[in-house]
Amino acid sequence: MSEGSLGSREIRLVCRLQPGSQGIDVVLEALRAAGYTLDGNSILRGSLRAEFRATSLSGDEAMILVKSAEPDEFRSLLGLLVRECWYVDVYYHLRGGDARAAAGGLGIQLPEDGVYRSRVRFSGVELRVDAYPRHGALTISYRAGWREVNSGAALKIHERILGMESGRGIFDKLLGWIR
Amino acid sequence: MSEEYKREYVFGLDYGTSDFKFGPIALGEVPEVIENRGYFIDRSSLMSRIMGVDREIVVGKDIPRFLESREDLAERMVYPMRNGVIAKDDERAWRVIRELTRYALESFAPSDEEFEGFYVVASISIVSPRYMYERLFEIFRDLNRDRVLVKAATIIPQPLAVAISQKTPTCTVVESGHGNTQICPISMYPVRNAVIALNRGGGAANTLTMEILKDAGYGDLAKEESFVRLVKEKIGLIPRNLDEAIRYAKSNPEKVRVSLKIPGTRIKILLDDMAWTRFLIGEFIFNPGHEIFQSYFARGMPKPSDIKIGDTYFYGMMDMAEAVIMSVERCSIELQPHLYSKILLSGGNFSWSVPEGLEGIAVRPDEKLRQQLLEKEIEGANVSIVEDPKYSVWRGCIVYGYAVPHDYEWKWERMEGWMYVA
Repeated sequence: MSEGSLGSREIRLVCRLQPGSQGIDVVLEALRAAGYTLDGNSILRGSLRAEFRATSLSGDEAMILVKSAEPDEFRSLLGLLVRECWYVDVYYHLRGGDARAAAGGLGIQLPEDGVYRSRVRFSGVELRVDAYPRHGALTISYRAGWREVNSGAALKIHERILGMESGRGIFDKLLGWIR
Repeated sequence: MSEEYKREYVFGLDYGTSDFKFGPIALGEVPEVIENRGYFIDRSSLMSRIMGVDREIVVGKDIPRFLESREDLAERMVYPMRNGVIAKDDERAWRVIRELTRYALESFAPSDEEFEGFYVVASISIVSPRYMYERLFEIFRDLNRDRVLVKAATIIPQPLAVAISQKTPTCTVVESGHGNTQICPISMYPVRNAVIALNRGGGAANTLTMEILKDAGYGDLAKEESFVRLVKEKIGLIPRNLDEAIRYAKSNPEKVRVSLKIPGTRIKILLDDMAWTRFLIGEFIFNPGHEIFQSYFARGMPKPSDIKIGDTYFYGMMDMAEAVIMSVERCSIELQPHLYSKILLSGGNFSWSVPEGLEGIAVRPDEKLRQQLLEKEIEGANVSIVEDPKYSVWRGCIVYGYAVPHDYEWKWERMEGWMYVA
């Protein structure tokens, strides 16, 4: 993996809609009901900044780009989407330093060149790893459903890949309550 | 299953006049970028034989390692898309395009059995003639002879890719790269007979930067284009009003004075009492007809000329707002207000910023064009720069490839769909 750049990170969610559903409108309605602000293509709530990027012409899939989100906000969005969709494919696109850190966090040894593809298990979920060491790019993806979100695996994967911790741990919550 | 396969393997190729942006959907929002150029190695030379160089053309990040003398550069370095159009019989340019395409696809092609080739979405200038489409499809087909890299391909014009990436069906796209500027109204599809092309882009500003560097005593350094481009990007400014900006700069020299150290070298550029010329660089992109540029033309700086390539005129000296108005006025009267209400600026030539302390004197490109349009009595024009203007075409390619169903086959009469080439 080439050294140098500090890195960059993006999260892409590809939502497979329920067979026979009425397209993306159902998801939009659910987002509004959950307090998300929809402004043009943007989806906003708290620390979450996301955007609808594309919908397939057949209307069975929608692509959402998550630009920034605290882990809890991300989990919350994913939880809502898996409720409304058949499943959601989650992609983490990482570059430079972020890619190296994520690979290290998952215990993956990347080669110096070529295209590297493999699968690793983390928190009971199979993750697909696509790496392009020449370009310092790494994509980690998995299919999320109700089980992955409810068991907490989705949040653990998110934190492990991005090296973040959810904003309010148990002590935070307790101290917040005491104060 | 085929639809799922396609969505995994969409690949965007943006053949810009200066930079070539490429990469699969798996890269997220940022493509790889290399210069759209190729260097022909002198394979007959003794040194290349001793060193075992077996390639004829080098592209990408390896180029600097193979460069010979400055004199050889002009002869051996080929920029195939300088005007956005490649002549049908320009074999050297087509060979560079083939090599760039191969480089891009091979560097992301997995070697496992599951891989059956990418779904490639290529984007070229709106003024590209039909033979360019045919030739690109031929290249994709030809590349598959050694190893299947392309399963299916489609080609879309760059302004349409911008509109797709912004999800805006009715708009005017001003796409400005290194070699030219395309102004294209879009109402679901590009309004082709309203397209206006300008024979200038970032390259014209480079030429002026070169003259400014010569005047400042850096004549020998000003011969290298990549160096000049770097200087332009670091010091160039777009003035809200050129005359006022020059007056401001001359009475507040400390605010506009600039020095620039070139990383990895001992070279340092200092513009002291000539710092006001920073504003000329940005103005030249929008209005090369300003009288101040006459002195440069008189001293031999080439004037952006009107040229005809294929059936398209590329205007040299027309100002940017005039070109937008001319383009929009070729559309139906009912449509015109909608086209002014969404003008999207895209392309690397619109990546300008305003340094701290110069707000109001220097402006961003959207503000400059809005001001120019207002001066020509176009009120209420809504001009915006797309997010990451350099990458918007590539992003549009990815969205297009993702959205178009795999079984929608290419139709020459509509110029859309997938051409299966594997």
